[in-house]
Amino acid sequence: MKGQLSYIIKPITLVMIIVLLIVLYQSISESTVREKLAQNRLNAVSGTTDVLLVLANSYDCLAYRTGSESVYSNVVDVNKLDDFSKKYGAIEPECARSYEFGWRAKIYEVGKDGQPTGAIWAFGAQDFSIGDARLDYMNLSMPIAIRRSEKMISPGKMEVVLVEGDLEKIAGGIDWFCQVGKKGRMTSSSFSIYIHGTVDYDAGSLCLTPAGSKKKNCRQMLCQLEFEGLKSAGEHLLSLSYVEGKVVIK
Amino acid sequence: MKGQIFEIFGFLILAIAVIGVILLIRYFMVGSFGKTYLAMAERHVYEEVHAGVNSIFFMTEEKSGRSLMELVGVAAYMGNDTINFGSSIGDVNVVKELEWRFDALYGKGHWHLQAKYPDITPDVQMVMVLDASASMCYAVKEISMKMPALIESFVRQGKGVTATLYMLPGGADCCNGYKLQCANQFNETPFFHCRGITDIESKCDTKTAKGTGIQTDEDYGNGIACAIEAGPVEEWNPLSVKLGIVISDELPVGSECFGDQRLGCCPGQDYAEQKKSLQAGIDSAKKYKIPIFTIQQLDYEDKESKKCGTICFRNSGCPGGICNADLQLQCACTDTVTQYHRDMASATGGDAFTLDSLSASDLIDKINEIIIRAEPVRKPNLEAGSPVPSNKNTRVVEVLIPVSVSGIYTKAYVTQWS
Repeated sequence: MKGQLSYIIKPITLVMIIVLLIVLYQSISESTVREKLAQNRLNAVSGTTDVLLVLANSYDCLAYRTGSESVYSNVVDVNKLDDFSKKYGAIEPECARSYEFGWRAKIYEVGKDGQPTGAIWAFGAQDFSIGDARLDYMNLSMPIAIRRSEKMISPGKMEVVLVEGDLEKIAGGIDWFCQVGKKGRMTSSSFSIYIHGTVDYDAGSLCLTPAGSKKKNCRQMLCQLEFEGLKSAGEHLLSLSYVEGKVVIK
Repeated sequence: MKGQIFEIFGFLILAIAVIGVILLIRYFMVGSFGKTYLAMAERHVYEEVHAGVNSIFFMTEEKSGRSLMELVGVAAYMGNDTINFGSSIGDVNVVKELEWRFDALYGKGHWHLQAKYPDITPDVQMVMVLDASASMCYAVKEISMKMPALIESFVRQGKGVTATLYMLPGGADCCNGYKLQCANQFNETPFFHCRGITDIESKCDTKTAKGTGIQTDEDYGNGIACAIEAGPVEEWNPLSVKLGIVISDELPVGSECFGDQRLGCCPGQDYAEQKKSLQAGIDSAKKYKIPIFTIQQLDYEDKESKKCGTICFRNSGCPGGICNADLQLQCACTDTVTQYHRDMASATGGDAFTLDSLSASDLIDKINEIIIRAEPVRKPNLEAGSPVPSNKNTRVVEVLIPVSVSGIYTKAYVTQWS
């Protein structure tokens, strides 16, 4: 009887151990995914805050400065706002460019009720990754002062929408190489990227069509490209070379 | 049987260990990222608060065009939340200006600001107008002898006091060796000046006296209006405590019943010119928010018996060039003059004083009292927003504020909560 009981218990124990190990494996996998998501979230919030701070505090961006004196933190120059709105209507300004994210800033004056009044300025990327191709999204704001003249500095807010996704990563990687290539510091490079859809290049814009969607999301590129596109979703290795002012991608 | 029990226990220990591993993985891997994420989110909120505070202090107030940091600095110097920028700009309430901006950016009930006002005594600037008729010979002697020394004594105590005496037209030549004019009568110092009112009349006559200008040696209503409008010799300092002082023994323009040969005040007379002059002084003082203190010289030799005195001055029209005139007219009008002085003082936030004797020996005591009383009541600090809750997570930003003129700094603490 003892022996028969042992024959029953041992297989049951074995099965339960296997089940436990599967649960352990799944839990580790799930934790890794969560960790990845949390890391993305962390990067997004950190990236958005950084963009806001750089825009509002850097003289190269929007911060006001008198002559050679120090920069006024969080006081943005209305002339620069006008200039940025014209020059960077479809792409992030270089002073606050992140090659991992895409972002668009909106700046407006606020009235006594805290609501927008008067002019609104916007600049940065106009289109972002959507669906599975979008890894994270963040929308944060920061108070600023908008300087029209020495005697007219009014309250305002700067909002930044930041997106991390396949389009932003591939465009960011190519734009980064373009910048380095223009300065003559690198002539060839490569990187691998996972794309949730297809990619094509047309008229100065890189476009991503998410899998199962017909809508293209496009980004203006810094350099002219020679690129036949990526015809399928999945992992791709891109080889880049900088030739006569163009980025050639194979 | 024992062996099977051990097998089951072994499995249980394994199961507990696996569950423990799963929990540890969740706690350390995901939990730590959760904490970091919260820290990053908090970093953003802190940067948002810091940016808001920084930008608000750089924002300008619409009427004055000055930044809020400058306004808080001025308020700290004055020890008062409300700053007066003169007639064209008017009052600016610093707390209200801060409140709407902070409310707009952080929402009502989510912030608190406190800035300590340093212990500063602001400078005092005075413009004085002296009736230049011969009955004021006593006063001019007192002022000449004692006024510069009085101002110097305040300066030696570390108080910034300056006075500009504007002499009405007239220039009576007194028997006591003085003349009712500025030249050679007063020791000019960096803190005490004497000027004839006619020297500044071009700066103000059309503005203050409705085109009439300063008419007589007793026209102290228009005179003080002009003095306030033109300011002292060193010009008005927007941060000083400002005072106007009028010294006279008659009605503005004069106590005479014009066209009437009777002596003394005329109850039936409407004193239209006198009232117009008085009102010009009141209007100007109210416009600039400068209180007027009046000092009425009594023309009695004896205050109790009201025995009227006489004055002595030099004039070629009198025998031997010496005139001795009694003060019947002035004495008869004393009560009316007192009422005019009170009206002017009360309408402008000042006070009316009466000297004790014809000799005007206590004139400097009265001016001393006016200067001492001019020190404003200071608030200990600027406070705005809602009380800081004890049960909320708060963020505090410290801002260094330069206090105007003084060369020192004070700190403003802004507390924000969600």
